[in-house]
Amino acid sequence: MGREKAPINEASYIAYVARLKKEGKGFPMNNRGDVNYSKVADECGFHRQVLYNTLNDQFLEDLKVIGVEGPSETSDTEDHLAKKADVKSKEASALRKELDAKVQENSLLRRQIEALEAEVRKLKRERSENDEAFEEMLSTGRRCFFR
Amino acid sequence: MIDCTKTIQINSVWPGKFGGAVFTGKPLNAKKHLTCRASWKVLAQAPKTGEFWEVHGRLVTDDIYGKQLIVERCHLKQLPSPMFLLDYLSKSPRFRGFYFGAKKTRQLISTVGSESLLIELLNGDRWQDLGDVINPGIAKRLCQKWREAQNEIETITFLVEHGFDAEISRRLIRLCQENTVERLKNNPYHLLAFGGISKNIWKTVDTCGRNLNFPLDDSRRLVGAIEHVMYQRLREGHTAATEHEVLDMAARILRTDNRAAMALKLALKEQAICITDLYGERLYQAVGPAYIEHSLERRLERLVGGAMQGCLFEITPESASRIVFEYSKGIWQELGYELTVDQRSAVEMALTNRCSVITGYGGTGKTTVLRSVVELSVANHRRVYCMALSGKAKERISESTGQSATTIHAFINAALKVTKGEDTWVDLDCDPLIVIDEASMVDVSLFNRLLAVFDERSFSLLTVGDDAQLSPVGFGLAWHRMIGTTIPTIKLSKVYRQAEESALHRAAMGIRDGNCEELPMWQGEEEGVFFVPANTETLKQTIYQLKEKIPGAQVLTPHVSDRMPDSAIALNKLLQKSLDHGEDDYERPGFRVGRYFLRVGDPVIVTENNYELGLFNGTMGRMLELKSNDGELEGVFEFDSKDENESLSVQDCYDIGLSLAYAISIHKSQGSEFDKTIMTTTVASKLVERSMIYTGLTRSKRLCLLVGDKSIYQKAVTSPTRAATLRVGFSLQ
Repeated sequence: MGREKAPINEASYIAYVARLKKEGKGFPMNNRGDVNYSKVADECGFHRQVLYNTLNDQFLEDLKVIGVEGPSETSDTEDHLAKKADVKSKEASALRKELDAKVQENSLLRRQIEALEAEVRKLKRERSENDEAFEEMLSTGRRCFFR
Repeated sequence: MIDCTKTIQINSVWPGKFGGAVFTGKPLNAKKHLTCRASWKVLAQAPKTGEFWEVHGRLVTDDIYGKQLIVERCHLKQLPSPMFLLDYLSKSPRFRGFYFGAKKTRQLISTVGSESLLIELLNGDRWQDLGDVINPGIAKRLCQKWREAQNEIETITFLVEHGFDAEISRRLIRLCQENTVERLKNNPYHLLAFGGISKNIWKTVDTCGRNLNFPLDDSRRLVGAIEHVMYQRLREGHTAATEHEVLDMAARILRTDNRAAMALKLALKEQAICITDLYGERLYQAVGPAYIEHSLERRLERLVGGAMQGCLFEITPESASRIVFEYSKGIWQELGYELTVDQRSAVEMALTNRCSVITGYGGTGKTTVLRSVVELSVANHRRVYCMALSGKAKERISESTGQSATTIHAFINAALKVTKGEDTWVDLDCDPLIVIDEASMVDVSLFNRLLAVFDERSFSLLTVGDDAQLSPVGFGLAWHRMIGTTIPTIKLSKVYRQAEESALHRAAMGIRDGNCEELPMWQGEEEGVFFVPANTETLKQTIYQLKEKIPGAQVLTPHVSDRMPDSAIALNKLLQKSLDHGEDDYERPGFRVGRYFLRVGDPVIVTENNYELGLFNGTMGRMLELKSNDGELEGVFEFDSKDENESLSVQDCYDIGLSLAYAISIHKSQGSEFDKTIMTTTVASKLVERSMIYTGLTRSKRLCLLVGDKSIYQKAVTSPTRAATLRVGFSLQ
């Protein structure tokens, strides 16, 4: 199977190198500044191991000739990713802020509920005290409003 | 006996048979439990397990029960240390329902951190911080219960520290449910309202005020002084006072006239008192009684002015004469007597007016009129509710009219259920006729409460009584002041029941009018009114000798307070002891109920209404035997109002307030009649006045012996009745 594909791979590689030469470009570069085997293999449509095995000699020779080109496409992708990360980070930050605000709002509302509950309790207590005092006044004639 | 003061944690409590309690507790830093016996007099509230109490008393050794502390003073205390929190939360019934067993409580404490921290959270109502450990709802309730407990303990501590009776704490906390101590510190003079319960209230409150640095001219002190004056008068029955009376009494407690005058102005400004102008006189009233009287006036005025056409079954004035005449003819045919002209007019008046009064002394036919009114109303399909103040009086009205009757209190309680939408036997919306018998006993407050249940409803009111009889025990006067006003009134004066020429009737009429007839000395006569001289030293011997001679005679006394030598309590103890027959008679079996030891053969009186047992205040009877029911003591009693004997447990006897009845107060005798009576007039007091003597005398059917000092009797009869001397603000134009 490998042998059958070998001529196809070779042809594809030759065409790719010819295109690079024609365009005056070098082999693509990875983050570390070396040739990007994966990218080359992708462009040629085979696995990167092909460049290490079957086409290794040819590839090293061509590398000497046309060299590598600066971080062209890699750089774009990373930019893109960085931008995306930036956006996501901003979104996350906004969401965090929103969450913080909601948490604050929630705690404020909880405090309000507690205050209102305390108020209701106080009013109920006052009403109960007033009712008791009024009943007491109707029975004993004495004023028992403890203010 | 050793005097001893200890703080104990209550371990177990048994309610005492005579109102107090026996409880055990572990003193702090001690291993052995201490058993305490406290009477109702020293126990303001029942101790509960887990609580801490300070107890003071005498250590005694009992042959049966061993070492005991006879408690003289005791009160609830704060937790002496946080380390007792676990025990307190898991044992106190106050926290029942939280299922705080020792394990759960320990877990709660350990999760929070420590007992002190948990106490801090509970004190600060920080239930949210407990939410991690227990359910927030439970945490919230726990904090609330804790706060209530703390408030109660702090209040009791404050009261005890300032010399008040801890007994007032329960009522106080009901009226002032939170931050009680803080509010009391802001104005301790509020406590003057508890004058009836706590002794020397002004002195105690004023000392408390001084300890809290209240200046002598502080407005709260001055207003309190005026209220105290009004409350003192209220205790004597007056609901109003002249300026002179108020200032005079206020100056006595505030020490200067200027301060008294300033106090009066401040009390008016504060609206603690108000002014009413009556019969050209300016009167001052505490706002409470003024409000009650004003409300009752408005209600009665509305009733008097109300039209009768509301009721489809009403008897119209046109038809009333004919209906009453025919009814009278009917009873002539059936019973052989007919209604007199006065009685017919009284019946017509009651049937055709929204509000009416029938007054008259015993034997004038009030009962006959009442029965006629009830029968005619019922015949015309009108609902009639008969009622009276006391249980005994309601039994009598029930017997005489053939209609079921209730006490006024029971009627009000049933009527209040209507407003709550609960099931009850009362129908307030049927335009009923309300009949009140013995209306002279009803005080202004109760009258107002009764009429209040009919607000916005139609009803008619018929009140019947004798205005020469005792005025109400409570403050104010309503019924006496309704007579002869805009309210239609008929006075029945012809006596039918008693021979008009009998000595008893003559004496009663004389006393009623304030004429003091010279009473003959008793020489063993069977009928009439006689005098038997006695003083405080010879009283007991005299009463004893008279009871020996006339065993069936009922002893009546104006006094209840055991400070008086002729009080019902003193005479009961004397007669129970001395009237026994045979040497070993004092060993008759019995049991203790409150202050009395009831023995087989003793006459008894019910002092509390009990509908379940069908026994009511004023019902008299006798203890026939003692028996055991499943190991529990029971007394077998015969009561006047019952056809069959009644077996009552000790608890039942407590519930109906069963007392000895060798001697009873004249107040309690109201509504009853006896063949022969012995009435004491040995000790002069405000209570011994014309209406008291008149009421006592008219309880007798054949013989009445007045035992005591002639001058006291004469002074009582010739002086005005209590009702006539009461200064009240109630007035119907």
